[in-house]
Amino acid sequence: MLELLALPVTWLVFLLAGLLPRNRTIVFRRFLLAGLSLVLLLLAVGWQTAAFYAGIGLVNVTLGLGLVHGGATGRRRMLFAAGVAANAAMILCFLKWGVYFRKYMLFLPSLSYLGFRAIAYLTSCYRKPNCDLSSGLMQMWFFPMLFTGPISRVEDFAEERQDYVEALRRLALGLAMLIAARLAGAYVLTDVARIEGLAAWHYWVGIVANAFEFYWSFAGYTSLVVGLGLMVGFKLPENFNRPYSATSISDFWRRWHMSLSYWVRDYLYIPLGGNRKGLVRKCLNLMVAMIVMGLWHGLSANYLLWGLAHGTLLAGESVMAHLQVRPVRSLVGARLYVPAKVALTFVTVSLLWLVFRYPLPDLKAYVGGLVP
Amino acid sequence: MKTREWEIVGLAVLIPVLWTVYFCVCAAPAGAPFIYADF
Repeated sequence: MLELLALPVTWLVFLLAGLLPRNRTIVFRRFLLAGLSLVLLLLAVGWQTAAFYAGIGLVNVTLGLGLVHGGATGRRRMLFAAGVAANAAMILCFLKWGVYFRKYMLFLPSLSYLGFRAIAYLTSCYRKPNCDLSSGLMQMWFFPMLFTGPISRVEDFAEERQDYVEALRRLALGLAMLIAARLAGAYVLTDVARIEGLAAWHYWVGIVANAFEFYWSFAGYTSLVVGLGLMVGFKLPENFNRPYSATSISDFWRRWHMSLSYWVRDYLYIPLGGNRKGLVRKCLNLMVAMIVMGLWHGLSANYLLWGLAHGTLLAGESVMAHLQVRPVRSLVGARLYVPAKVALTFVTVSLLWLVFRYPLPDLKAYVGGLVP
Repeated sequence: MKTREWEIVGLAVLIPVLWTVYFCVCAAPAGAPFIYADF
């Protein structure tokens, strides 16, 4: 599905969609783009999936309208809780049985993204009763972001910002990143449990290649999505900000998959208490947030371990900041402090990508191969 | 020409080149870059 974002015909459709109704209102354009998105989805994946997406979108938009015009606070709160619970249940069902859905029933791409966007939309309607129908439909259906995010907010569709040069720049950047990802992918080790007699440096090169393949492919697709959004006049949220130049794990999560990490911050970490209830509670909240973030990718031991590891590291950083302990600084001195922190963060994150990517037998073999 | 116009010309040249390379190295024969899963 993601390949569709790079097709010249898709770009042409969005260029025309951005050009044609120039004299119409933003509301009309949002309705038009939401309708166009459903048509594209229908052509791309068939009527069953398009009908499913349309249904989920309509249910959530109806709930949103109910929240805006819901009357009494108690009733709105119940409606909001029911909507959030239904979307969370949908994500869980998809994560648990998505493979079977795809095999026997219908192709359901990226329901986790759809569910998180729906929860963000309902929260906006609950907190600020000014979200309108056309923005809601864009939030649920806008075609470019259906398969790989970013996880937008309904506010992203409030204003128009059409910039063709910036759009072309982002599209070109996206293609370049995808090409780079493909080239990096050639050095990533596969079927690791069956590899024998390979020198350790191949495994280390594989770690770096894996980190950049993941970054460039994900950021490449995101850049295409942002470019297509700008083509029709909407600035979608960014997902990446030079993540491998991060100086700590917490800095990394301000730079990597930002629309997801900010979603988890705003809709989970802060409601849990965030950092307002002491250090122990903050660490616990960080662990919960990162475990949920891990399991959002899939209900597997790998994602659980990956989330747990990131949560532990974030909690560790919080404790060290609280105690004002700086072990790296005392080791390398002030001049090399920042480069050392960048390198350390990159190595840590890249090693954890192995947990994210490889099944447990392959992971075990990989770790064994790292030692000469 | 102004900088912005040069940029448009540059992008108009660059994008077909990138498309050609993309479809050679990504679209065929091994498929698009790996992105782990449809989350």
